[in-house]
Amino acid sequence: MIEAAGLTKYFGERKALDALSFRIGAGEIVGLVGKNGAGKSTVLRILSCQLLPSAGEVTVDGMSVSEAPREVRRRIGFLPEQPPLYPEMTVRGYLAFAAALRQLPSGEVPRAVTQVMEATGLAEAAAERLGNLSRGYQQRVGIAQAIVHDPKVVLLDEPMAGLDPLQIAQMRELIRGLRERHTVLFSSHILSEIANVCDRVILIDQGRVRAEGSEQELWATFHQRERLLLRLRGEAERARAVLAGVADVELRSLVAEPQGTLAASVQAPAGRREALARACAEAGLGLLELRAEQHGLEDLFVELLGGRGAA
Amino acid sequence: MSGLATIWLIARRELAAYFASLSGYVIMAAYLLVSGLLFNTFAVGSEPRLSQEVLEQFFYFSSGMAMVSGILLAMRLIAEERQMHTLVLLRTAPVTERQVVWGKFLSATLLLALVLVISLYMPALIFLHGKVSLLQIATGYLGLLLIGAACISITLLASVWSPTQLIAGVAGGLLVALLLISWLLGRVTEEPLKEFFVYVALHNVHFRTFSTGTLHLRDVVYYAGLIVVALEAATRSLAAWRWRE
Repeated sequence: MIEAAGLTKYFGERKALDALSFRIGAGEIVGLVGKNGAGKSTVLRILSCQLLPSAGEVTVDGMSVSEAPREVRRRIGFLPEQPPLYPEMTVRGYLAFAAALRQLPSGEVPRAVTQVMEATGLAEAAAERLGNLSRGYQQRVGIAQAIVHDPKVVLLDEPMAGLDPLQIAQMRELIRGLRERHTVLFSSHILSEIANVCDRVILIDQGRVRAEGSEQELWATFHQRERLLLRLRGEAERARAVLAGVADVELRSLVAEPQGTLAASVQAPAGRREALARACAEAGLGLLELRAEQHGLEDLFVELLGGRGAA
Repeated sequence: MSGLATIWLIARRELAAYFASLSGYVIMAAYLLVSGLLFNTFAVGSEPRLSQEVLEQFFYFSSGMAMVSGILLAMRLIAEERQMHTLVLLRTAPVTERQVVWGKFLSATLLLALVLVISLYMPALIFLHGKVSLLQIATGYLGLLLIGAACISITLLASVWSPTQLIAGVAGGLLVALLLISWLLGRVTEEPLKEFFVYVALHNVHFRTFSTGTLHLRDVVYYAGLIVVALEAATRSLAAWRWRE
């Protein structure tokens, strides 16, 4: 549905995108992740035909954003980081305007507006002026205007920015609900939200794709060594020496817990748990717990980008 | 949806915005108040005068009001969208830049036409004291609409270039002022520049005929041409943002 090949964009001398390539299939929900200035918004602005690429080609549903921007615009709905709302308009009036602007036949506009207000939980606010709505509701209206014409592709730039936790949860549900009818590409700094909503993540850094795949695939590819947590009973120095002495095991931390036990974090290749348990037993250390540490996408993000200012 | 329907859609939203934000009411009220004062003070006066002279004077100062109103109405058209981050809605919709520009121009011109219609009570008052040529009124009002619409199109162009409404208003005002005084350049230059500067002057040659009740096709063509050129420049400038950024 979306294909980018060698996508490059310069702003003056600065290279914002550097031969970026990716492919997104129909019906997928894909998250675009990266630090500030990584190029996420630039990608979305090119896909929504607001910017032309300096080099490379991007197509949406087979249409080139450079050569057939109007055709691309017919196929997309776009929510920028700041929802494009006219404060004096009512929710219903604004959505009707957005639908007509997206060339929906006038006979279908009232039905489409009613449907999208129900889908986005805006029915109660239909007569409210946009300027009087809360940030969360404004963001819902932003999503509603992006899907009111039932586009094939929905592009959302930081849709959860500035929302409180409850609103984030509601927005997550809203985006999940788009899966049935649309291909969705959205950017976010809130990496845990990406993991919960997306089928796939594209991680970009300095205008290049650093990694892509599901959360599990990314871990499998980039994190061959697992991180293990051990809870031990015994002397700290002895435990340190024993753990460091097991082949291929890297001791990351060892701390004494208030209840008199030790908590150790090690990194080891898959399949080294048995060797670790045996070494502890032979050294007379009491092994109370041995398990893999729970990782989130945040850890992966920090690891892949070397922790350089990660969100 | 046809191109004209899209233009009308954009114009309708703009018209509603003028009244929702009160700027439309304020501009209309200011126009009518100042025109009324000028009409009473200078055009009517206390001395007996020919109706034709009264009307000529009425159209003379009304043209100034139409120009100022045109600038005030047009300065927000694109610059405000940029300030409010709403331009993206138009730029990501399957509409052309030309439809956006003409839609916005139409809204401001319709509002100007509305205020001109309301101001008709002033020349109508002359009926109480003398005979009035309806043809002079009709041509005078056509002139007011054309010169006002020309100022709208010029300021709309400035609004495309400007980051804020205020800058758009100042830039539009400067462009209009340059066109107003270009006939002075005609005095200090030789042919063919002399003829050019005199011809492009916004008011001097072209408007006077309207106020006297004379309709010259060349003057209508001048204003229509100026409007089309300014709107086409605005269209191209708006489209160029995709390349420029």
